[in-house]
This record gives sequence, C-alpha cells and structure tokens, in this order.
Amino acid sequence: MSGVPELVVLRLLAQREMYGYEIARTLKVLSQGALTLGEGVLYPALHALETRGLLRALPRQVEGRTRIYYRLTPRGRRRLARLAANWQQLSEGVGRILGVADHD
Amino acid sequence: MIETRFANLRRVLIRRGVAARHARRAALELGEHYEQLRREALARGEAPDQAARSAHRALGADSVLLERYAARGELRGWLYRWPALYALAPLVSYTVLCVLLMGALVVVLDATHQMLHGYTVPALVAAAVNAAVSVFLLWVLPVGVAAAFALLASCRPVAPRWLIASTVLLCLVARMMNAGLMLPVPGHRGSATLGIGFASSHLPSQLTAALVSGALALLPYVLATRRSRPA
Repeated sequence: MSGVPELVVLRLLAQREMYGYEIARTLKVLSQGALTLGEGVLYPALHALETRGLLRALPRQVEGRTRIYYRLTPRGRRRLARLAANWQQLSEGVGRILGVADHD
Repeated sequence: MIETRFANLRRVLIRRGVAARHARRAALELGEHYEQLRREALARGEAPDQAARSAHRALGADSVLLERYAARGELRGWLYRWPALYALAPLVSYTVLCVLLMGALVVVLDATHQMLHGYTVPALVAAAVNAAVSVFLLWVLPVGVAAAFALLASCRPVAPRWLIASTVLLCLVARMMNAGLMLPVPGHRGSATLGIGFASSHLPSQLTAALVSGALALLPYVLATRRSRPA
C-alpha cells in the first residue's frame, strides 16, 4: 500500500487547500472509515510532500491560533496525475486477476 | 500542560535530527490537531477533563510520533545530514566576522584620520586600542563564536567529536593569527592588520593557548548538557 497516503492526500488537496485535521477527517468520511491516516503518518507525509515541492504550506491565523493549510503546487498536480494513472492500471490489473479467479 | 507536551516534542524532534522548521511546524500542527479533537469530544458531551484526556489518547503516544518523523530522511536538518560541515561552520563564521570587523575598522580609521586634524593620540592610548583590538579579534571573538556553536550543539544532534573538532580547529586558527590597529598620526593614515602565520617554534605555546580557549568555549556546552540531563 505504499504511495496510497500520498495519492489520497494529493487528490484531496487538488480540490481545495486544507489543514491537517481537515484532511484526516475528510479522508475518513469519504472512504466511509475504510481509510484513516493517523497523525503520526499524516503530518510527516505532508511535511515530506512539501519538502519535495508537491505542496505549499500556508500559515493562517484562525481564532487566535496558527493553522497550517496545504495547497497543491503545479508539480504536485503533475505527480497526482501520474500516481492516479498508476493506481488505475494497478486496480484494473488486480480486478482482472480477481475476475479470473472467480471463473475458476 | 498541553503547551509543555508540544514544546517538549519540538525539542526532542530537533535533538533527534529533524530540521528545526519541521519540528516547529509539527508542534504547531499537532497542537492544533489536539485542540480540534478536544472540541470534538466536548461536542460529544464529554466533560472538559475527559475531553482533554480523550484528545491526548487519540493523538497517540509521543514516542510513535517521534519515530515517524525521525524515519523520514527528507525531514532531517543539515546538521544531521552533513555533520562534518559542523566542524567548519564556526571557522567560516569567525572568518566572515573578522573580515566584516576589519572592514568596519578601516572605515572608522578613515573617519578618525579626518577628525583628528593632525592631533597625535598619546602613545599609551594608541597601545591600549591596539591591545584591545588584538584581544577582541584573537580571543574574545573566537571563544564567543565557538561557545555560541557549542550551545547550539547542546540542543541539536551534533556528536561531541564534531563539536570538539570544530572548537579546537577554530581556536587553533585563532591562535595562529595576529591582529593590530595603528591609530592615525600626522603623516600616516593609520592601519588595521590581520594575518595568519605558522612557526614551529611557537607551536607548543599556540597549541596550549588553543586548548585553554577551547576549554573555555566548551564550558557553556558542558553546563547546558548537564542541566538538561534527566536526574
């Protein structure tokens, strides 16, 4: 499952900028609980994506506290397209294998 | 208490080699995440104390968070990635400061030459100024720079061998240098000199002086690491 956190985070941020807690909540809701990213995975992953230039971190003041929002960069958008295509190919391949197995 | 948890987390992350900017942001984000979890628990009808406990639990153990950050090589700071650079950083800083100070001295000398209008500064004052400049550039500045880097090392992932190497290198170079300032006198604009020289006959005394100044520079580091050591 390596690369899945990166793919889903980039996909969510392709829609709009979000902050960490919001990303974790949205993932849980959209996947209906099938996919959860713990804080220990999510934040280091966000920092790593930012370091690679795929995301941009934007500090904002909200209710007197600093909240870090993340926005997808053009490079991040290109990376998302590549990852999504790979995932599509992989899932179709696995689907075909499962289909063959069902016929047997 | 909650601020303490994230401030500690930031400190430990830096000590484990995570770059300071990532450690700072991690503390900020996890603090914000905690606050959101606490509010969520309050909205579920939990009492404030219970909500705080639930939020702490949901956030997970600090050790797990630390491991996850430390496992990501790209989040490491430059000190962790290239520790050998640490041995050169104090020397480079000292050189840059010396050059800047010499530049400033030249400007001051030029201005003084015009202000004095032929007045001769007493020899005693000129000698005192020369000695002060020499002591500052060759003793105070290198020891100060080495001590500042040593203090920085006390809260960062710098192995003691690199710290000692950088301190000894800086103090040795400083001991091999000479500096002076001659104030303007009638017919002479004055001069500021800075040089480096090596003579085998002076080596034992230079080494001794370097070790003494190195020990002085490392003193704040020893005190800081002793204070932060758990009882």
